[in-house]
Parts: sequence; structure tokens; C-alpha cells
Amino acid sequence: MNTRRFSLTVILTMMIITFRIRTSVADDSHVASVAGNCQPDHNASDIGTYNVVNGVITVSSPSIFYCSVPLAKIGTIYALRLTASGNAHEVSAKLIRWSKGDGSTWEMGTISSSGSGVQGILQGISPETYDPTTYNYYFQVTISDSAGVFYGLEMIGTATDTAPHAYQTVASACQPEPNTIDSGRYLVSSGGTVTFKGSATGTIKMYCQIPTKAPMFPWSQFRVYYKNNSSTSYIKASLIKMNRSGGTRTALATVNSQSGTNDNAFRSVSTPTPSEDMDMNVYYYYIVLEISRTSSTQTPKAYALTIDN
Amino acid sequence: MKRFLLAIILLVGTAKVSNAERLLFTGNSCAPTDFDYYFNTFRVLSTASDIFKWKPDLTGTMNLTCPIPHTLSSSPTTLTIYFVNDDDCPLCGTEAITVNYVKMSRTTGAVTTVASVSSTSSPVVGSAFTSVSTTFSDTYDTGSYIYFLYVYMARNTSLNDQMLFGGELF
Repeated sequence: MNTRRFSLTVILTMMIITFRIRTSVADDSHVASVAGNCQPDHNASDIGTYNVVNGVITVSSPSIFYCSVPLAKIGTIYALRLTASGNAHEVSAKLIRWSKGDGSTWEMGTISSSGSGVQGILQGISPETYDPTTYNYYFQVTISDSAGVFYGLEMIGTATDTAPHAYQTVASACQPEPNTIDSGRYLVSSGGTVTFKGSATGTIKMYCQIPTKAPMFPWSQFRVYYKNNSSTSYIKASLIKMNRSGGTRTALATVNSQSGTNDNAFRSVSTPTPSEDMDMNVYYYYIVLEISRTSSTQTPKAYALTIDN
Repeated sequence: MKRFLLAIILLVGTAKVSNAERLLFTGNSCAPTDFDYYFNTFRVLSTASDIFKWKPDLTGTMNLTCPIPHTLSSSPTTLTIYFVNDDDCPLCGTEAITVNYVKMSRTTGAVTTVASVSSTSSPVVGSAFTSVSTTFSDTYDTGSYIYFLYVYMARNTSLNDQMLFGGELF
């Protein structure tokens, strides 16, 4: 091989390496959850030690919650973010992985509230390759007293895929807020639906996690699938963003069965998503699902929610 | 030398920088049903790997729904669960942890079980951490369906200390 061809080959190789590194670390990737999306442990749900308002959790006594890390487009995990209010350790979170080989767990990093007033705390952790082949991941959050307020959290890593992926969830995969649990008014089916139990009336409220980037802009649709037989009862879903630093919330889109057909057949109603890209660096995103009725003759049932084209 | 450099180019050019895409779920972060929340049938022990398990004195069936919140890039073919299910204790023989991979029609709302994996197909006898997988073939069509996972944990006796760690779909 002559010198010129050798040099060309080396340059080509370096260009490919550079391209692949740049495409793999060009952006951050996030897996996020607002507090209301997290599962209370048995003590919290049984004794009723917690409350959820606008996706934010407060407690009356020490409580533990678990937040999902379902699907990550991450190469290397290197930071955690916790949005909370409270003195040190009044709200604390651990990112935990467990081995698929023996079930053993390992704390990859911890993060804690650091003062009153809502703060978005960013905490670096020892970088570790995201390895869903070997490990499964979740967050454990502890709120130690009533002064701690938990807004949301996320893990951050190098992006392996920055493209938004269409979002979908069945209603029963969303987390009910504690008033809904305690009232005993809702009923979940193995088909993924949520409706009222027996003759119960009122409002069922659930929080649905949007862990990673979903498609927005007006060419995407935010849609709810439902059955309903009355123009008085309704199934309503609100797409909301929460600022990671201050906890302020903005409703981005709302869909309501009252603007659709209510003939007790399977239906859907949708609205275009906002003309803004999801900015996972600044906001948490989530959906509030509400099912409401005033009479047991009304039969609203939520099936699913989607954000896609 | 020429072949060596060519090999490097091919290796670097085709090497994947992304992980295999896997939908992960854990028992402690799926959604228990209304019954399980209301009657507090479950325990999540923060002192023991945060596993999802039965309240000690209860029997019956617990259920969880786990979302598949973002669409996968290709059709999944494998469903795996990680669990403890004592199939060797008295009266435990028929008890099982089962996870169904389900699709809901966007046209009718009807659901179809695409794949099911059960602890009963595990060769491990007794109470030990283990896993079991099933493979399947089904066109992943998010334009026509909404996908989710539905968990059944059934036991007849509290002698079986069933535990669900979680699972994966890929």
C-alpha cells in the first residue's frame, strides 16, 4: 500500500470514528417521571400517608414511592435530576439497578433535596453504561416528613436516539391518585380499561407517565379512546408540562369525550399537539386522565391514550 | 496491512453504539389494580431488593398493568419475567406468575393476547430467583394497536412466598 492510500485509509477511519462518537453523544437523553406517576409502596397506599395534587406528592409521614424506567435511549448514564422542596434528605431518590442474573440490587446514585422552595437539583453520578440486557432499572424515592414535596425526577445520559417515539398507554397502566384509591370508586379490567365500580359516582383521576420524548408539533395528535353514553359524564385527558426547576405547570392540550360521540360505542377524540417540540431538558411531561359521572346510569370508560401522527 | 485497515473500517463503521432496545418493567413500578390498592394485597420491601410480593397472610390473584409507553423500533419477539415462585411447597403446584403481552385494537377496543409467559414453564423447582422466556412472532403495528403488559400473580397458600422482580420485552 502506498503512502497516499494509507493516509487516505487512516483519515477515512478517523472520520467514521468521529461521526459515530458525535452521533452517539450529540445530545442528552432523559427518562423522566413526575411524582404522580410513581407507585406508592404498600404502607403509603394502605395507611393513606400521601397526597397527589397536580402531579406533586406530599406526605403526612415517611413514605416510599417507586418510579419506572421503562425504555431508555441512553448510552451512558451520568446524572440524576430531582425536583423537590425540602431540607437535605427530606426528599431523596436512588437510581437502582438489579441484576437479571441473581436479582441483586445496586444503588447507582442518590440525590436529595437541599433546601426549601422548589429546586431542580442536578447530581452527577459515576458514569455507567446503560445495559438493559444485564440489568433492570427503577427509582426509589423516600419522603421523610411533611415538609418534603416531591415534584419529579429523571435519569440523564448520552443519547443513542434523539428522535421522538410515538406514545401510547392503556388507561389501567396509569397511576390512580390516592383519593381515587381510597374512594374505591374505580374499576380496572384485564383489557386495560378503567371505569366506575358499581354505583359509584364522582371523578376518577390518574397520572400517566411520559418517560421519554414523544412527537409534538401540530402534525401529531393527542387522542383518548373511550366509551360513553351521556353528554354529562366524560373522559378527559390533559397533556401537561412541568418546569423542572420551579415546578410550574402548563396545560398543552386537552381532549374531552364531550366533544366527541357519546353513544356507548368505542370512540376516540383527538386534538393537534402544540407547535413546540418536547424539551426534556426543561420540562417533565405527563398526562392527567379524568373520568367523571354524576349518575350510575352513565357509563364512561377510558381505554387508552396516544400521542402520534 | 491493507486487510487489517479494511477490517478496522468495517468494524468501526458497523459497530452499534446503541443498546439493544428493550422495554423494561419492574413489579414495583407497574400499576396494581383497584382491588390490589384498595385491599392492600401487596408488599414492596425496600429492605429486600424492592421486590413486589404478597401481603403475608393473603392468597388469591394480584394483577398489575405495565405500560409500553413509547413505540419500539421493531417487532418484539421475546418476553421474559424474573421471579420467585415456590412450586415445591405443599399446595403450591398449580400456582403461577404469568405475564401477558396484549394488544388493544384502535378500531374496536378489543384486546388480543399476543404472547404469554408463565413461571410454570420454568425448570427451576422450589423457591429460587429465576427467569423464563417465551418467543413469539407478531407484526408490531402501533397504528392499529395499543400495546401493554398484564401481570397475574396467583397463589393458593401463603406458604408460597411469590415475588415478581420484573421483566422485559424485546
